[in-house]
Amino acid sequence: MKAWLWHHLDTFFTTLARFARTPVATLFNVGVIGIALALPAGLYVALANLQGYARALASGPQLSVFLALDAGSTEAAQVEARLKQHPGVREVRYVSREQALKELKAGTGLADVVDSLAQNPLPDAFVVQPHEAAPQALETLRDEVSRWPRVSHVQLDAVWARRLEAGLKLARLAVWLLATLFAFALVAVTFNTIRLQILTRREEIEVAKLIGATDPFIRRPFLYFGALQGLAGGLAAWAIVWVGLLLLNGGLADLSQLYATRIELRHLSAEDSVSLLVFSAWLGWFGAWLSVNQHLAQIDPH
Amino acid sequence: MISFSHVCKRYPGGLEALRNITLTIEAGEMVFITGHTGAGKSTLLKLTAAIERPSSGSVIVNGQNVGVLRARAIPFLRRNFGFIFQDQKLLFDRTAFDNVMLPLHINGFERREAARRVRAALDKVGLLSKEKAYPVTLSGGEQQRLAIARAIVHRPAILLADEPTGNLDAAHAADIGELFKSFNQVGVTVVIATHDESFAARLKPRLIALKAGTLTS
Repeated sequence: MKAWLWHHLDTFFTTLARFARTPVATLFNVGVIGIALALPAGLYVALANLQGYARALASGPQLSVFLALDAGSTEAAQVEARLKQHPGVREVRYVSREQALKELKAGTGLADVVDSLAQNPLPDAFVVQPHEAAPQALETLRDEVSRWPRVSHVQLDAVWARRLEAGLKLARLAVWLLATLFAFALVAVTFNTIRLQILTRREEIEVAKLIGATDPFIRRPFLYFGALQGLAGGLAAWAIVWVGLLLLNGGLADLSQLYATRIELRHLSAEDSVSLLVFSAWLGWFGAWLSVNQHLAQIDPH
Repeated sequence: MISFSHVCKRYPGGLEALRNITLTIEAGEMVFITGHTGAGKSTLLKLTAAIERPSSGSVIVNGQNVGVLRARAIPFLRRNFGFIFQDQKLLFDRTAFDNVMLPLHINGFERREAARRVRAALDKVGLLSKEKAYPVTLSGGEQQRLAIARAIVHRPAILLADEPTGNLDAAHAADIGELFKSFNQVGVTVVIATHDESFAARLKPRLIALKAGTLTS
């Protein structure tokens, strides 16, 4: 058991030494794998960020019902009662014009503009959560409510968010397609690297087989090499994404200052980072495994 | 113990390397297999170590029928042998020390114990001072002795040598003969294939003579 563990450790360090012996080749291989993985990983991060914003902006479909500017509080109460009795409405929240102005000041960074206004330009409003989220039902509800007296405008809030969601879904599919293609590329790169290694170490393999090495023993260093190369590629991809986000956030900081809000792109989560590394190491291992199985059988000493 | 019973070996293409060989080599024996090039000496050694399989008949080593051994069991059979190859098969990208280390590595020896054994084996063949040398920098005789060190380092019960004096002069060949004799004296079964009859005669071993794939004595 101890010898077995020792052997694995030994293989690990021998593999590291092998990387160090051919630094340029190693650098290029890791670079290729890193770039190949950074593309889908970067897109994934971009999507995750977009999705986060979309969610924050519109959690579910809502209707905003704006009353006429000159509507008084009794009229508002009438509309509220009517909304509450409507079978298609689940929840109603009243937003007074004063409260709306306060929220506008706090939430958007337009405080300077709001303060300079002579009078409150906002109407009283209701935020309505409907029972049904289907676009058809929402539109019927909107059309109905907008015909009520003292209601000046009904806004369907979630439509654009749903369109964005649908777009994101498509983009996510594209990310998976890309990831699949580049995963294949990673396996192919490893396959070829290992093939070359097996060819250059053919004699060693032959001798080892002749003096009693088992197949797993011969396979092990190549599998280690593949997995470690994949892992290094994964790390490179992670670093590329990290640096990319750092640069983008630098640019975004200037932009968001102009809009007086804070926009910041988030990096890959710890979970996603670990998944990326495990996945890349596994792909490297898999490429090596394919290659070793393919080529080791051809070395049959006589 | 190695025993051949009615063994034939036909290579693809119809060449018949061995014909109806029946022989027994007891544990602790020293045996020379002699004959001209192409008589089937190498084939006989290869059948013993499952590098080749017999076309018919059976090869039994330590009670195992080598000819029908599963592929996964073959490595473990081979660990019983120390094999000295006709072309030596030294690895030129590593030092003498690391060449001798290979079998111990394969056998899963702990590193410190392995290093001790490597030095003992190198000392035995008189190459201890050259442990850091690469095989290219060694003379023909030294290379042969390095190959022997690699074959004996894991203390196999059976030593198989294919033309161990192939391209050595008489003096060096005598040295190597003495080495084999000393291994045999500590109980190792030694089987040597050679066409060098003077080398064989000097050690007075049991002789098995092959001629065109058949036993002559």
